[in-house]
Amino acid sequence: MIRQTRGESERSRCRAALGSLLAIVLLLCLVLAILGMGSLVQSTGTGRTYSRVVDTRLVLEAADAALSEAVVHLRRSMDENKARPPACPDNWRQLLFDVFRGPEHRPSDRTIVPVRTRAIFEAEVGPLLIDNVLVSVVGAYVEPPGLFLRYPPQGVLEMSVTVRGAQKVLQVGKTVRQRRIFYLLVRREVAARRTLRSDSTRFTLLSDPLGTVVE
Amino acid sequence: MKERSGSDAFTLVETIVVAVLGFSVLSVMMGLWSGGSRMSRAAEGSSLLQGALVLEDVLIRDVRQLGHDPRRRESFLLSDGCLSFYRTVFTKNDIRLRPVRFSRVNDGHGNFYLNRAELLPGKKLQENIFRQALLSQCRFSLIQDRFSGNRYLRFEFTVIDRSNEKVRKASDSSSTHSLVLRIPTPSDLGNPALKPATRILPEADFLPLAL
Repeated sequence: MIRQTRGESERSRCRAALGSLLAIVLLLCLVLAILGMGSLVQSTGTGRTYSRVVDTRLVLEAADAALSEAVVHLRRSMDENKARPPACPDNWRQLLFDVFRGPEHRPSDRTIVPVRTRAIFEAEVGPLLIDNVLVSVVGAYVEPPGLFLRYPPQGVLEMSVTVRGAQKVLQVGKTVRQRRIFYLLVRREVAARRTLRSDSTRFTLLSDPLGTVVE
Repeated sequence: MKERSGSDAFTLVETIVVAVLGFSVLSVMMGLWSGGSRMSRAAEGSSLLQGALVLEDVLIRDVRQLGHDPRRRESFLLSDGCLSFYRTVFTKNDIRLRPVRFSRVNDGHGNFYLNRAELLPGKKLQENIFRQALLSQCRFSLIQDRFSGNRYLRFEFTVIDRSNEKVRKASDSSSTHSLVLRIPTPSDLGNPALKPATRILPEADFLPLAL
């Protein structure tokens, strides 16, 4: 009886030792799991921040590219005095010429389609959502009749484009606005007659913007 | 007596079993410990990177919107740890220039945070301190390309681990970044013939460079 009791007590001690060992290991595993979860959450957060930053940069690049393409379409339309659908559905020389007839003739939210930018970004980056470029004339100046033509007829165009990121979860979307000066080169004899005609003048659109706003 | 002492002592098999178990547990623990340290370092690096990315994002967006006052020769003020410039804001007919400044804010332990201040209409100063990135070093400088004439702004900064404030510029708890941004070129602003097209109106003078 005494032997059996001793054997049992040894076994129970052994069990207790093993049990406490197991408990320590489990506790350690738990602590490490919590640490691991913490670092996982942290790295997921960083992953999201990184993706957001990359997406934002891409979106801004795409917006810049779309606006530059719109400038090219506008200039071509101004030089050729015609619309060039589907990218440029309006005749911009005519539209800008009309601006000098009065504020009510200022074009607003006319669209230019950034066809090449969309194709390039879709092929090389992924499915960015690049909206059409909207063009409005926000200001114009033409000297009143009777004054010497000191300043050429001129105005300011505002171009804006909205681009949304490829990853819908992050919901990165930016609208980039730029303003550029355009002016009319008027030949002296035309200026002297003071009869401006859209086919006897030449428009210039400055390539560098006056400023950029990101919203 | 013999019987008792024999039953009290551990047998060879028991000792071996316990030793094997002990070593197994020890090796598992060491493995887990090293994994845990790796995870901790990864989390720390991840946190440093996150702070740096936020700063870069803000600077990229602001420098893209940098505006030029045609009456000024320079479009920004620059010192080692401070940058002052105008941000472009469009109104209906005019372009307004709003003063913005990036400067350092001391954390009281020799390190600092980056502070972005913008002067809103009504002379209200809006400040935003980026507390997610503790910096041990932060420097603005100008790069001039003599061939193209383009100018670039370089921002170098070192983010350190916030949880270990005693660490000063330790390489294993810090992450150094360098960001180079092209300064937008002003568009023919000096041409007197193009004055009437639009008005460019600074809302106030540049915010003074912080010491």
